[in-house]
Amino acid sequence: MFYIGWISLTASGILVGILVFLWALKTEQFSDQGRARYLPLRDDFPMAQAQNPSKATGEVYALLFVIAIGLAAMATTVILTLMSLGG
Amino acid sequence: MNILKDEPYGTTKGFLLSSAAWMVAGSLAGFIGAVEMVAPELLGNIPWIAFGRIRQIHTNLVMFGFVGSALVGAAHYLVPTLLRTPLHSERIGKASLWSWNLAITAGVVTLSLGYTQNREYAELIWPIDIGVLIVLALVFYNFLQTLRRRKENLLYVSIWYIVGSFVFTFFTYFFGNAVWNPETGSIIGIPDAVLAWFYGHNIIAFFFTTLAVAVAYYIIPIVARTPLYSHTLSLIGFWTILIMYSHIGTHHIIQAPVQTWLKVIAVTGSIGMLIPVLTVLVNLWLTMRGRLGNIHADVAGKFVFAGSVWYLLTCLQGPLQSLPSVQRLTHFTNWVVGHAHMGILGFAGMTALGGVYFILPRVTGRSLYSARLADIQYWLILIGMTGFFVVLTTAGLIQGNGWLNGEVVYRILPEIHLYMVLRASLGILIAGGAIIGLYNIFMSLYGPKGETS
Ligand code: HEM
Ligand code: HEM
Repeated sequence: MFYIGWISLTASGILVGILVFLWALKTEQFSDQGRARYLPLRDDFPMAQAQNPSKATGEVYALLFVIAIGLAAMATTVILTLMSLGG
Repeated sequence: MNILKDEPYGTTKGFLLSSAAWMVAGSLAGFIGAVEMVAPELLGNIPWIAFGRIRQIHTNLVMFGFVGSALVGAAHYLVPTLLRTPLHSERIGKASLWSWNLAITAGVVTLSLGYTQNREYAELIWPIDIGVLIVLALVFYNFLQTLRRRKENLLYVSIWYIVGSFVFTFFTYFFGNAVWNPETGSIIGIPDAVLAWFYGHNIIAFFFTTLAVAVAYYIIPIVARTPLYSHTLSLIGFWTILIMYSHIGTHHIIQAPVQTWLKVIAVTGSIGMLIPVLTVLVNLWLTMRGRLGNIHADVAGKFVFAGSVWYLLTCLQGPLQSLPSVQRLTHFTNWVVGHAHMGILGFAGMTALGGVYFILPRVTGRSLYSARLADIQYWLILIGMTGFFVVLTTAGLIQGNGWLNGEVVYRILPEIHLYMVLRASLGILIAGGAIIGLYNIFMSLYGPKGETS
């Protein structure tokens, strides 16, 4: 019957979540979402500015390459899985 | 010397420097482990670096030492800044900093002497567990008091993530390490496997993932110079991760004789995890849309952006490998080690480094010692990590496929030898990046005034 323990652990986690959610409702944490978006922007430390902010840099292409490799690896895994199921 | 000196952002600075130092030590430990896999006899049979020990030293150092310290340090900057209130107590902060480092040091010493509880990521022995719990409690208390005095009533999503992380990590750590059983730190049999992976999974979810997401949500809008795309969406992500992530640890032991209903919950929950993950990524990426140039003009933005890409890949892989038929192929192979490095180093580690480089100039009041060195570190880690991923995934598929075809371990080992050599070589890039990082971070804190970034 160990899973009684597991269920109580998981349930208490969810319970804490619900209690905090109620607190958030009470303190109107969900009321002013428009302003919340701006909260980090009070940071005024000087930062380097790109000459062309929208231009993709070498890093972006490198990361696209990483994504491509990642997807290829996952596709290979799926294919090998399907083959192993068939055989 | 007053180790509890009360200075603005002293705690943050201490944690950031500790992170850099542990990254060097941890990567070198990983490198030793990798060398042992290439040439088991090379280093002789020195007991305290035998594979079983050095592996645990590596994982504890890189996870809690490197990534953990950076994220906890970043949280000590984010909480006061976003609440517009000074940290409740820098002295408590310093006490947590020293206790954290003491616990990690004691962890290395005891693990190398062979004192371990041998449950993954919960290896540290009982007295050290108590130390870690005290740190978690201190940090939580310090944040809670800061929260109570806050001048900004509205909580930004990063604050939700940070406070949630400390509450959940405390309970996860307490129950997961079975601290009521000091001798073993475990319960028995299959229930312990379930408990161990309740822990192993939740520590990844509610310590590394949530804190890293908090850092990303803070840095991206600033570096992109635009408000967050949607705060509502970010909160939906927060509440769904809370509900989705806490009970799916059993996906680590799908191959073990655990109750089927637990496995079903774990697998469905793993697929459901795509919801919170995608809310984060969509939100961050829409915030940076049309501003990738700005993100990459700043070295911190760059690290965080790369972290988000690794987060995508890790979390596409995660649900895939939770499927029992896929796991038949990948479980117990290097494929999972690839996933682990991608999550902890690619996503959490790179995001944490973004946090470090973002926060350092702001707490020292001057630019980084060298933005160029940070940039070199970025490339070393990016290339090293990509290489790790390719090499470990390939090795894993060879292992899994061979075993499913009935090949025995001793025939497979020579087949993956080349990949083990490649992994050790790539490790040099990452360890090199760590050393450069330590130098740069040390000089940014204590060196002469540096170049402008
Ligand atoms: C500094 C960032 C790094 C992080 C965050 C990191 C993280 C991890 C994690 C989480 C594991 C456990 C994997 C699992 O149980 O599935 C692991 C294992 C390992 N790591 Fe790292 N690692 C890092 C760097 C390195 C480096 C530079 C090397 C050197 C080549 C390395 C070599 C290893 C080895 C050999 C293992 C054991 C794998 C096994 O048991 O088969 N790691 N690392
Ligand atoms: C959607 C999200 C994710 C899912 C569904 C997921 C799923 C999984 C599964 C099923 C395994 C066990 C594989 C096996 O043993 O065969 C695993 C291992 C692992 N995952 Fe994830 N993962 C996710 C995201 C992450 C993230 C974000 C991180 C890092 C921050 C991470 C770190 C790890 C580590 C370190 C292990 C190795 C555990 C070990 O030592 O065996 N995962 N993951």
